[in-house]
Amino acid sequence: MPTELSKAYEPALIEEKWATYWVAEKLFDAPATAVADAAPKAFVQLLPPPNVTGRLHMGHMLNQTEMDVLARWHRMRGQESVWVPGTDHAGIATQMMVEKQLLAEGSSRKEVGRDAFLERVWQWKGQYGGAITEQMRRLGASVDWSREYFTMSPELSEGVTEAFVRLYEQGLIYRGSYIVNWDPVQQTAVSDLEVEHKDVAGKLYHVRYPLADGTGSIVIATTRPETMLGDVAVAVNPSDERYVAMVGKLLTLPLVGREIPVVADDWAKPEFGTGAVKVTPAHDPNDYAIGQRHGLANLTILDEMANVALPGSPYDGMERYAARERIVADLDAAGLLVKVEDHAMSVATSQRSGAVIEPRLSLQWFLKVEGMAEKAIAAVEEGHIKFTPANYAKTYFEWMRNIHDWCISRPLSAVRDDVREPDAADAVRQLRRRGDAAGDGRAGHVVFKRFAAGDGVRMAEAAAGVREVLSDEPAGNGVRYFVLLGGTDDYAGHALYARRADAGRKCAAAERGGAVSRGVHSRAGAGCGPAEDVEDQGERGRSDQDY
Amino acid sequence: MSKTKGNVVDPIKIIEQYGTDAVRFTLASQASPGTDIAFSEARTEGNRAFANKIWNAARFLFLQIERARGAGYRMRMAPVAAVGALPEITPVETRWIFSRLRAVTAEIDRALGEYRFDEAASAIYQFFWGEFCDWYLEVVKLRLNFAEPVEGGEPPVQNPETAISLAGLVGVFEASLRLLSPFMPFITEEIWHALYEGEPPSKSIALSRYPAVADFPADAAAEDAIATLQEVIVTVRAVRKEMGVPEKEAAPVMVFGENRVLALVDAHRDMLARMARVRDVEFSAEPLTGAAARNLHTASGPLDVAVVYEREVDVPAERERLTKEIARLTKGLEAAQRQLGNEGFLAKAPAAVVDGLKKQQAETQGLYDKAAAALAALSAA
Repeated sequence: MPTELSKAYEPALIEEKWATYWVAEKLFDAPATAVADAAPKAFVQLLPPPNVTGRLHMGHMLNQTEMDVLARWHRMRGQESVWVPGTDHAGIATQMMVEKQLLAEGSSRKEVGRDAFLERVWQWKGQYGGAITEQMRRLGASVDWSREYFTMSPELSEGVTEAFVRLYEQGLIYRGSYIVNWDPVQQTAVSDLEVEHKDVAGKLYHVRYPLADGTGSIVIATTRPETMLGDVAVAVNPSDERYVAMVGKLLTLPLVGREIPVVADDWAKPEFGTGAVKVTPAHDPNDYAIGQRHGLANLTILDEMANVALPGSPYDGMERYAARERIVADLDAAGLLVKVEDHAMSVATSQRSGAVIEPRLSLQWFLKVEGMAEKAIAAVEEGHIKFTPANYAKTYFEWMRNIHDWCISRPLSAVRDDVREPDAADAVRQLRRRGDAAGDGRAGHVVFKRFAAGDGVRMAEAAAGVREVLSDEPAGNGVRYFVLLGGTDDYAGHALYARRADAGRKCAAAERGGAVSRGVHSRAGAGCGPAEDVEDQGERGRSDQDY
Repeated sequence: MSKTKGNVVDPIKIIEQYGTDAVRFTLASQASPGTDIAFSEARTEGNRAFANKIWNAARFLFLQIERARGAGYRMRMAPVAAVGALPEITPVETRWIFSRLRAVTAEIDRALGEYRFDEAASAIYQFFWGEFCDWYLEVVKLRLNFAEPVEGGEPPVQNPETAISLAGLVGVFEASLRLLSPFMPFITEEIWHALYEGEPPSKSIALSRYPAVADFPADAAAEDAIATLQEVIVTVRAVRKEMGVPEKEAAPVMVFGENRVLALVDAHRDMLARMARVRDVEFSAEPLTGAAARNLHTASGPLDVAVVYEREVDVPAERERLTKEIARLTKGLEAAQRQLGNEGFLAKAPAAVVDGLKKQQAETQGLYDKAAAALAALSAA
């Protein structure tokens, strides 16, 4: 007689029991060499790590359901089905949690120092983190718990640093300028996700800039008269007949006296304002782009508190809006204020402090991606990587073909021009030397101190005073695959499978390294021979803040 | 979903309400590629009902096994294996369900291979509910006749058709569990272990073999036969409803067609009786027409089917009913006339309202005419 089934179907009673059984019996743990031995029949998935601080949301449920259906299906069809779970240390979010904790104790991150802070992060993780993995166990996801990883673990951290150093040594990493969203109240840069746009009733100021040769003038329209102190040009649309004759001529910048050129650029729209806009590359992302296109200088005229910083100028030290009032009054007195009209506009504000964002030029670390992008494109064109549905390859190509160099650092404090910038190459050399001195025989092993307050690498302070760098999480993402699933042979010793030499051609994915984006996760079938399937889950099911 | 919009669904709450299997199945069934999902709580509730159906099917199955053993049949769960050709005596519905199982297996293989979770989920759902539960379970009951054992008497005679039917039922059900398990791992694990009486061939259904197309025999003839019979059954049910035949009352049907299809119908009178309350099948010499007849184009050829039924009418009661009905409808018509004849009302009322009233009036008029005609017919009879 078959075992009795209870009269009513009650999921709560049966699920807990089996979830526990599956984990306790280690039913979905694959042997250590499973991936290596079973390739190409292995079906390997890496769970995009949810934040360790997080709770399960529907986005997780959706992607875990799909991955679990596949993991179980492949396993039942006789393939070695390995699904590696893990959590993300969630840099800034975790930092905030621990900082709050310290604050409650009357202490602070700066007070306890870096090492102690790191200790606290691990403690915190041990205590609070992992609620989400408990939830995963309850959901019955058929993951291999013996391979559970944490993105801040030494192996992964080393992998990221190793990648960074190698890329630097290959000449692919450099320092460059970048406009960031600066919050002058919180004194920090904020990401695009933390910026809210508010509708305000602003004003559009029409100001006359006379031509240097005295033959006329051009009227510009601007919502930010105070930044005219940093103007380096005036842009007009190349098709705008009103100004065609003035392109290339010099203007005298009112109140300042500097001579600036009139440039032709599509960014200026004939229908907006007067059709002529002033260009302040250090204070506006669009102006910065114009500046890049025309080789213009970047003139920073506001300091970190959004006060005018121009020694010698009558406006020096004034708060930005106070400066605006005074400048407008002075322009009016000089007869150069043509008119002021009401203008409904959208203003970027910091979600956390409410302060109006002050775009600010900042020195950051960049990764040259062009060469990698070519290889990444080839990998898809040649069918080594397959998108499902196929039309998403189009989005991918668009992206890869119009790719910009990647800013991999995240500043928590902006560049201070008065601090001597250390020689980055020298700093890297110091790290390499230090790593070799650690002498554990692994080629390229680099020792570094990992700081919790970032989604990635924080380079140790070398004697030369290396600026602390926080690299963006995606760099960690890409490297993760290779550390956890095996990559080049001289990576950290987690070689779960040896890559098959494919006529000497390197896997494009390996070159892509950190260029793997969020939202696309690749299932490494087996090295690069057979097609790897990439299922683009896009942004589906992702809730607002956390992943 | 957005925290700012405040419409976030907490998966833990949904799971506590409907169970993980139902939530998983819903997400999979809504997962069409490249588009966002509007998570549907209504569908989750529906999928919980689906899980419930599976559970009840299992209980029914276990009961049959118990009855069989009680009647002296020896039943033993074999390890998972391919099903070879079915014995000659296998009744048509069991041949059919195995063939359908093979088709569903192929469909799921294709769908999951293309990451079409929605199509795979839909296939298993349609198969399990629409074919296995709604049809197979009902029809196979015809074969599951177990004699009660007599105390001290001869062991009851074993009917090979019964034995093969029960074996088929168990085989299809067990394979269906394996098909479903990637989507609903918990309920399938529970039932599978119970089915194997605590000694399953592997530690978990998740480690057992996924059904393959080659595991099940195809049978196009059986599929055609059942498709034909299904069409007849569905048609007879529809006509009966239309004619007002009381649910529990059996009625004869008449059929007309070529010998091939007639032979099929004739051979499965028991199925028609069970599934459409067909009391008897009469063969007509001529094509069938009339309100109670339908002309079908079945998989086995053209077939006319007519339900034979004369409703017995209690004349005085019916006369009273119709008279009351006519009185009610008359009132309705008068009210409608008052409103629609009122100039002032027509001027003020919005066009949509006036249209609605006119429509209603026409409907009421139709019902009135019908009732009046019926009453006249009664008097004439």
